[in-house]
Amino acid sequence: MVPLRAPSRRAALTIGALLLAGAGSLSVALRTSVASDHQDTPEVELHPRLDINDVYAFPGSTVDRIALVLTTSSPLTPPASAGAVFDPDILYQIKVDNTGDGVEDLVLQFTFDGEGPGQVVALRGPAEPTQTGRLTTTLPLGATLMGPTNTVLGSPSGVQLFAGVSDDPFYIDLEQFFKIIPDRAPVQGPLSKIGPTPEASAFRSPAVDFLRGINTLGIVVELPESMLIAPGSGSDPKLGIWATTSR
Amino acid sequence: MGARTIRHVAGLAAYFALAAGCSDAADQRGLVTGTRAVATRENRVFTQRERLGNPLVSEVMIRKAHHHEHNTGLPSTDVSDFTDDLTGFVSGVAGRDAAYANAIAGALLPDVLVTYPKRDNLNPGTQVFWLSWVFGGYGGRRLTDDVVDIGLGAIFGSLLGNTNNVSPGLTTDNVSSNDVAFGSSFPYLAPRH
Repeated sequence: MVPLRAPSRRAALTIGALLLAGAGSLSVALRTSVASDHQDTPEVELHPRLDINDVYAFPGSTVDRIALVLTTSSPLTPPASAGAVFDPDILYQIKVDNTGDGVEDLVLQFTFDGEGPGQVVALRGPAEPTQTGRLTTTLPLGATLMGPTNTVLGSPSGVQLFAGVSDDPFYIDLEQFFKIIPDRAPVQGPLSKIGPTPEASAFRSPAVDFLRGINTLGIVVELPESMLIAPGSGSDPKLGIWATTSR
Repeated sequence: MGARTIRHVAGLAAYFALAAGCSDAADQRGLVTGTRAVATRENRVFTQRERLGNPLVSEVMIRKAHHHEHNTGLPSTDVSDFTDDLTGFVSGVAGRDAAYANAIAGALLPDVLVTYPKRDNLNPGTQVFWLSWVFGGYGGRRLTDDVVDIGLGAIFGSLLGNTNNVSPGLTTDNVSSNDVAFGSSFPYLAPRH
């Protein structure tokens, strides 16, 4: 395993945003950043499979379908990706509010069994959760889809599911961020060589996508929009979509 | 902070109430000590440890001291819990005016990916990318969206319509696309490296 130990992308983005505050307020940003050494909570940093890297929602293969994506565990180098699996102890969920009150009306629950190459994924829902909020249980329903990871499951006219290793879809010039605010650089890996004094004060061009060649664990589900939209919500329905991990 | 404390105490009480309501003594002991092997998945109460809706919001704009609260928090209370963090960042760090800070906070809280899934059905020209719903688009978030530049453009630039005190050189990291092409069909993510 290559000893790449980058902070999460969200840490990087924080750094970037702070440093990007501009000349007028950069000193404020620097003081802020000196006060902490990592953006994620220690729990998430120590358990990368708990970390949700990104969430996506976009039109599916036809206009009446929608695709949802959750990524976790990045950055995975290619050597580290071979044995990368989802955590069977974690309940991964995508939640949907279709009434505008910020409370999930429907959940899609993803659970995993096995820790090796034969790991199996199960999707339950979308369905009304047994309980909304921080605490919940698995849906008392049979699996909508179940099968091996790293495999496309389901039907293109119904629900489709993929859970497995893929390219990390996110992109960012992380190295340049650290050159501008080196106190946030990691303690291990190539980026730890940056600093301790700032080596840059602006973005560079051409830039370098730090996540080039990096993998993630991705969950992708595509399904008819009608399975997420509240009945009677009119011609311009609104969805609020987010993801959680629980254990 | 009083409200937060009250909410946490209430959450803790609910946790144990729920645990007691559907567990035997062994399960309760397991939940308290963390030896959860005693509970099967079907009878287990899961506790939220992490959440993500919009990119950038929680980690960029919400103060580090509040990150655990955000990770374990709920969209239904985001406006009351985190508006001050967002407006404080946009006005204090980015130096934008208060009205603009409020507008950004209003677009990003509750912290969910706002999506209008029928807008592209009705109008094939509808714009589909993160935050496009603010202008009548689909919203959501595509794999191809340059959310770093969209976010920085909103916070430091005029992306959401305000040209007051922008920082033009700080609105892009100059990485405008992924290193490999995404798939045009399910599952869309590019194959592993």
